[in-house]
Amino acid sequence: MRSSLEQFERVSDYVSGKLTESQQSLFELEMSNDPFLQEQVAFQKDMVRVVERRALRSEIGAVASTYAVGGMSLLSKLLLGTGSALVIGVLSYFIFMHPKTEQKPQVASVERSKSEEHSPVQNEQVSNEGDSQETTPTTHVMTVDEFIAFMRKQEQDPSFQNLYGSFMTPPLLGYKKDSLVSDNSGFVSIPSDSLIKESIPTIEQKRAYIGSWRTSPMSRAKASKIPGLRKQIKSRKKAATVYVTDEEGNILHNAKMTFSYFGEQRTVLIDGVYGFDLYSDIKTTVVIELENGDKALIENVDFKPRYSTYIEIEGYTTAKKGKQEAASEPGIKRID
Amino acid sequence: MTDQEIISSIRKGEREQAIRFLYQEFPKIKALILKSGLNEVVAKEVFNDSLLLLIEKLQDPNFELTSKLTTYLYGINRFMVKNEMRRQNKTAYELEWSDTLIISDADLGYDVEKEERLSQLDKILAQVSEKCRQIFELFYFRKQSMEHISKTLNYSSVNSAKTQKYKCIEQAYQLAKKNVSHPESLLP
Repeated sequence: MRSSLEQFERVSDYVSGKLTESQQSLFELEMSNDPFLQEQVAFQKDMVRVVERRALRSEIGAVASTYAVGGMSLLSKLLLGTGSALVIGVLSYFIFMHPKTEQKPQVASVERSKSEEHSPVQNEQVSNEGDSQETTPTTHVMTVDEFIAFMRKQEQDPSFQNLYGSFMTPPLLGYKKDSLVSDNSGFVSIPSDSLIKESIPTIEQKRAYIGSWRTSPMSRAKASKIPGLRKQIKSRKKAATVYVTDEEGNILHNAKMTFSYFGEQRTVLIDGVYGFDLYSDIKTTVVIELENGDKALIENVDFKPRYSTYIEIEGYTTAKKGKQEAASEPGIKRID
Repeated sequence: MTDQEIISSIRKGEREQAIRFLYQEFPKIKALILKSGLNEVVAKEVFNDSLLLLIEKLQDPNFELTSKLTTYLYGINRFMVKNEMRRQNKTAYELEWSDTLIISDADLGYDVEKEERLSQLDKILAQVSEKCRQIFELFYFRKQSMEHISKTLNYSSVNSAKTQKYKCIEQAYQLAKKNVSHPESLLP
């Protein structure tokens, strides 16, 4: 009696067209009287089709993603979408909250030696830090000229470009660089000692702001840049921006954001602001870790659609909200 | 690229440039799909599936193109949109596609039951081990010999590679049979 393996090989050869004409005729004769053999042939033919389709889908998907990213019209839409949100956000920030440059938080001074290894922009920030520790914060309203000059300067800053999408490489501003591994999508993987599994204390006196703007075609394209997420593109998605600031609205530099969804955990470095995608129907947990190690947890991130506006997350967790409110001392400039 | 160049490169297995060329039709077709009442995500799926069907058609040496290739692509998209609208119990907005080639199930060789079966099998493939998927891809798609596969995947001999291939297909077959009796087992 023929073994299953031998029969399988014959079916396989028949499906692949490897049998000679006479072998093929014989096989077809045998098959006509054997429903099991017919089923086996049908199954292997289906397998061939499905495997071919999988590979083809992957090729089409690869072209689709590059086309979407490279397509000028989509890029324009993205820039239009994010640009308006950005301008409103930055304007609001600088008109209402931004203190003078000298009042930047002292985080960078803690990391001075690391920062010096990186961008000139970062070095410039560090050079201002010496004065800032002794200065009292004051609110500064920017003029239009100052604002334009600021925007031009920021355009040179790679970290600023993070606003335009999570597929861009986040700046590795010397933050535990050795322990992080960057992947193609610009995400940085962290070791298994999960932040999210830890018991995370509330960050007192600091707040995270999270905002969203209209989902653009580009933001869908970005999803395909995230390894392992291609199958999840169907999820409704919002491009979101996280701002990490203190109560005064001053950006806290070199924060680390870990977000967990689809059973995966990703960590990115944020220089105050970071753009990423949130999936409306997927539980997303975000942990913000400041440069000094303080952490805040935002569970079940889920926000209603708002366009071109920023939403403040009310405390980092519901349980800690009361404590958060109590920590209202103004003028906090140091994290440690 | 001319239609003939596209067909020729697809039949030679050099698909990337052809796919890239055909993908240039996406914005226009997407606009039609959106006007038909489907959303952007579905529009992309419909377009990608249509492109896949077109490539499959072109790979068939017996297929003869009787219109412009892009016209045929529009026709397949129209067909797929109608299918999707039917699936979603929506009324098709035929007006938007009035100038588009009408393609039937028979023209396309599209069998709903078969497509359903293939879709189930696709889910089964997602359940088998990565090693099995590699073997399937190399054998069924890349058409590599078992000698080559055994070297590529570091099997000690051709026979062990063949045995592994048999085990993999047997596993998939059992999962498919199980799915027939318990279709809920493949729910995502």
